[in-house]
Amino acid sequence: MASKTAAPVQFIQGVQSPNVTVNPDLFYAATRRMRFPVKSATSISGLGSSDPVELRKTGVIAALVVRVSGTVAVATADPTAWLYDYPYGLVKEFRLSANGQSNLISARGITVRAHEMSTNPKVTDRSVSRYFAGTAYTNGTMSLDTDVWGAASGDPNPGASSGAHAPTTYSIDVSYVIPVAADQRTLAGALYGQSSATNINLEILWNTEAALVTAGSAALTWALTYSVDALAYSIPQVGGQYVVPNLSWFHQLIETRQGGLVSGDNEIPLPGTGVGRQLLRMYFQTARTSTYAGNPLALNATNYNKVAWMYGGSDQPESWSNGTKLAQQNERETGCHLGKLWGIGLLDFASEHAARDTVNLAATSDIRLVLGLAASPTAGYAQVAQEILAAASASA
Amino acid sequence: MSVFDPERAYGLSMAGLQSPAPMQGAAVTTDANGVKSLIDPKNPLVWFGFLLLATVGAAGVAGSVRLGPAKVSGSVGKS
Repeated sequence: MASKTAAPVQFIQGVQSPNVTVNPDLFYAATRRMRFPVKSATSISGLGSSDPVELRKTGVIAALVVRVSGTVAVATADPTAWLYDYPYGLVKEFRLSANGQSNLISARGITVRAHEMSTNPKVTDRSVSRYFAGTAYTNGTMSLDTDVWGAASGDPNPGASSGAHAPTTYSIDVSYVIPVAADQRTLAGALYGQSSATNINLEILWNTEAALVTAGSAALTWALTYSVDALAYSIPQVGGQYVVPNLSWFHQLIETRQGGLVSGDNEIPLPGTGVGRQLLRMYFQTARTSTYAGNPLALNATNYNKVAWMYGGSDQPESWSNGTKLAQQNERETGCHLGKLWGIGLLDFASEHAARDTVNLAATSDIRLVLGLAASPTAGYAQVAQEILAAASASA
Repeated sequence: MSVFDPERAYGLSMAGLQSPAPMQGAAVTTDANGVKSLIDPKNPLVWFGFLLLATVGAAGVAGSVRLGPAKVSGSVGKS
């Protein structure tokens, strides 16, 4: 009796898969875009807690869309203050892990929103009126028109002082696009989901009420739900062979926090750099305890007298002599004044000509971000996010 | 490589995993100054050479050089 020949088996992104052919052109010609709910609207487990979501095992997963919506009821007048983690910081952190790769996405909600504003040229906050620290703005809030928060005077808004919050119920609706793949064209970093061995998890960490609002004597009742939708692409069969795009890379958006900032140049090292990693973007946001905790330091010449990146001993390929120059460049690159209210700065190596500008982290030892601060921020800290593509064999 | 390949779009390459630190490149020598250009059909000198060979092939070239007691001679084509 002839013995059976086992089907050839290979590994993609660390998981066993049927024999497949890597052919991007063929894949794009034959694949089908799919959008499906991973998690229907469900009440969050509570502020200060977390909700894990396991993704369905299908196709090549390119993005996740998380919607957080609901209400907050203020029982008595006058919560003392709404803080700067409201509303995007409702999500303290998104954590995406896949097949043992624990740190694909590890970033705050506001960083995920900033990433969307800076990578999707169609998304804009222009002419969307939102209140910020009690003042109405039509630029720089990073709000979409479909967001629901701070549209009217008296609505809860970041940095809003007391006295403007009547005892009523306010609606909240904020959505986030989690960049599983670095872009939707090449699908760089997309996850191979078509395997029973695949295990992709999204964990949503909810912020505490104390980080969102100083309630004072007002009792707040939160009723929030979340839902998750996936954007994926089918794995087509062409001529009896499964075809996939190049899935040799993982996309990572990793955020770290650096305290102890002083007046003058602060050199903040990027952790986890090394062979097989390519830096696409760096985001930063400096916050201090001024008026309220977590108050972002606007990106301008008053606050920053230098922004740069360095590596090695003192190699400094790019520098901006003050914060305003970087803010101007960021507005040109992204169509959003990221540094105006939220104080977010962006060093973008990928949007203009990624093949030319992205930074090979194997060749730039001790890479660091330089923030030249005009004054030492009170209890200040910087949140620094690095977006990289990591070889599937090199990421962890 | 496909334009949809991330390694092309982002300048990634597995070979880059072993790449050394970037350094100042040496002056570039273009083909126009190199040996390759001598056999490049785009070089008019090549065609001039063919023409010359055809001409001297018909007419023949012969010559000799005397250096003291030694005599060196050579010829091309019919003689």
